[in-house]
Amino acid sequence: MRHFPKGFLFFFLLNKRLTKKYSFLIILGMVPLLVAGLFLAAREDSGVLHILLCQENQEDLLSEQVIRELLEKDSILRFSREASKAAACEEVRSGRADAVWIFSDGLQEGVDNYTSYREREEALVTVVEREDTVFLQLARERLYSVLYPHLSFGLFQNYISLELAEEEVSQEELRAEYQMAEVEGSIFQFSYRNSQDAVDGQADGNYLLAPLRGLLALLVLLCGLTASLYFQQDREAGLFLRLPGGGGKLFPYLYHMTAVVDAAAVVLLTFYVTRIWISWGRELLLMALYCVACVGFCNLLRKLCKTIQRLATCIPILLLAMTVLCPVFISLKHFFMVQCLFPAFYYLHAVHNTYFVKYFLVYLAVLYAVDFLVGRPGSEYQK
Amino acid sequence: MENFGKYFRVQIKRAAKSLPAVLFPALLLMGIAVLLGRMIWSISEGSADKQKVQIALVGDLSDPYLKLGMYALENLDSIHFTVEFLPMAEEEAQRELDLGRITAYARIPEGLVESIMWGENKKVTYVTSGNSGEMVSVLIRELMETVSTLLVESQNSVYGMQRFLENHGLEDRMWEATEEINLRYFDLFLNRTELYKMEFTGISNELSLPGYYLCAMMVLFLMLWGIAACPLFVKGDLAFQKLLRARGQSLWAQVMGEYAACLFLMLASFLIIGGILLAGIRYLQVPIPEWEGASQEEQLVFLLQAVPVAALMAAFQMLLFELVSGIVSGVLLQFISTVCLGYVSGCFYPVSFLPEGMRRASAFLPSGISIRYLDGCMLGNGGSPGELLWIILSLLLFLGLTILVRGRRLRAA
Repeated sequence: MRHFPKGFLFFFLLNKRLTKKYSFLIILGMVPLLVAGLFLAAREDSGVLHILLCQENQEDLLSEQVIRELLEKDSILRFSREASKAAACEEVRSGRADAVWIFSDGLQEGVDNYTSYREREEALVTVVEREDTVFLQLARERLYSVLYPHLSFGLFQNYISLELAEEEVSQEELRAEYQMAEVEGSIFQFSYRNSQDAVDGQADGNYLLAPLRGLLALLVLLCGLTASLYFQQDREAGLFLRLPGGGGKLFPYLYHMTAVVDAAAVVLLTFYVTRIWISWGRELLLMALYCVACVGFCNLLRKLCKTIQRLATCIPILLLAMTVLCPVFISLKHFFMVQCLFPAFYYLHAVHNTYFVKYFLVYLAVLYAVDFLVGRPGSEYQK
Repeated sequence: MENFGKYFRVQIKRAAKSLPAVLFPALLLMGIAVLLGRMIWSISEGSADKQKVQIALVGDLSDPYLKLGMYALENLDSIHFTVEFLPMAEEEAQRELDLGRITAYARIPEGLVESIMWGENKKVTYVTSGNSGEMVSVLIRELMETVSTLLVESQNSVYGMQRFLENHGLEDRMWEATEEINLRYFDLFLNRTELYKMEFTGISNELSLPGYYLCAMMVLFLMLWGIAACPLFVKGDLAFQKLLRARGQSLWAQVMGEYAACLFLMLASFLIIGGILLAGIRYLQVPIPEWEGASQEEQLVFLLQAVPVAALMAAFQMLLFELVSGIVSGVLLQFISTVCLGYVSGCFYPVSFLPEGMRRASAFLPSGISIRYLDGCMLGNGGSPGELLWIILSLLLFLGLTILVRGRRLRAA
């Protein structure tokens, strides 16, 4: 207990030393601004595929309606209208667009023919692509889902008029019967493993914003790694020789903690402002665990690398590995043995799955045990 | 000029001295990365099933119609190769989800089919532990919306027809008509490909995804390399540079000497690691369509064509080193600029996935210019002269800015 005030003093002094560097403060301050910029940019139209929509006849009402629906609906596909068929095909050929959907002239008539089994030779839509991919096949399911309400009503109308009704039935009456059933809404609902979790605001379901939490978590870890560089530099400069007992056994942890805590505070602020926020309790607890994990991980890596050059070389490769193996952009399966070495893996999984916290705690225990063994007196990594 | 020569030699010596220390762990980690790549490759080659997104189904799966529906869904052309449904108990699904062995599970409520028959749809819950914006989740969500539309519209039609029969005193035809209209809906669903006619324009002169990502990863590596070089090039104070200035060493000579050392170190790391990477790609037989049938020499030429990109990145990093006065700030600035530029330029998501504004911005960023130039090199046209000119202009701009910043810092010191 008697070491606590000394620990706080060290923490305060180290923090003061760090925050006296304006460039450090400016860079940390840039984080929320850059994230806000990304949020603004993500509002623009974007998609994994760019599909051009084209009408054979600009006056056709149904194709106009379908195109408007496609343009207005939120989707991971980016749609835009193109007046000229030839120009649209050229866009695809040159790689500026992925596909063109050309709606035939008299689409309503085509739907009626198709659903009455009168004539099925004529396709309703011409799809022009460079090559067929799984993404483009999925995109065509979207096309089908937009055409489906019209096809469904067409089938209903034709079946009743041609097969069931004994006298002529008006379209208004049929439309009223069709809409009377009032079955609405999706039969699917999304939930996290922790069912009480609220959705992540604007970032929810947006692939452009989805990696934000992961990237900011890597930033916190990077601050710990840079603190390791700084620590090694100070040690090589003989700065710690002036401290009584080299600052004590906890000194390296405190040293790392200053940079990690500063970054964590900025990252939490960013989460809060941009609403990538779940709850105070969860965010603070997980960030605290993550900070402890980052400190242990960075200190262990510093001991293993021994020199500042090796440590500096490890950083980009580690960051690249974590970006790929931790669930920042994608969740890779089958690499648990490698993934479980990185603190960001536990943090990112525990965000929506509190059951992962127990693995996080086990990881911390193992990490600090290894750190202790590596740093024990007589070990070649002790210094 | 004599001073410049001396300073240049000293800087090169300094860089060369730290090269082994920088390279050894990098080579070690690169070796691990190649082995990891080999592992990924053997897994993906070993079984097509292992590439699939695995979704567990839990709850009441006893209904034969539900089984039929799931079978139909699993065998849709568009998801046949991407999604696999695995029936299991909820506890097991939760455990598998926790261990990351499945992507998600869908909880089917009891009496789902009856509820659909009565038009009071109970909801199927899609449970995931990951980020809802992750690409797989977004695709599944898109697909579920489609399935939902099909189901709800078909229900409207069947109930509408039944109401029509009731209103017109045709109840006796109810069962026969319901069966018939359901069959028509099955027919509509199964023959949906007849709705559109496919036309193919053929492959354009653009990169395949593996080719694109190889170029993007090379640029990302060069940008991340700046983090490793921070301890060597970020200067806490400029006392030595001030002394050199007083002794007649111009700003230009100082910056160019340091730039030469930075470029030397970067090129050495890049060419050695790039060489290993190319050997790894050949060893793993990674299918990069642009390199089908290409000889080792042709691949080496591609690596050498990337030298202007390395030169540009070294100049950009010199500017970043000059903007900060400590390692912590230096590393942070390098990381933030790498992530931001990499993101906007298409190192993570292909640039075509990004909004128009970002795509326009990427055309002026060093990373965007570099990716475009490398794309051209990979396609075999050696990079267009226009891109090369952009690279040279940007390089000169960054070096000029570095000299300006150095001058300001020296005056302030």
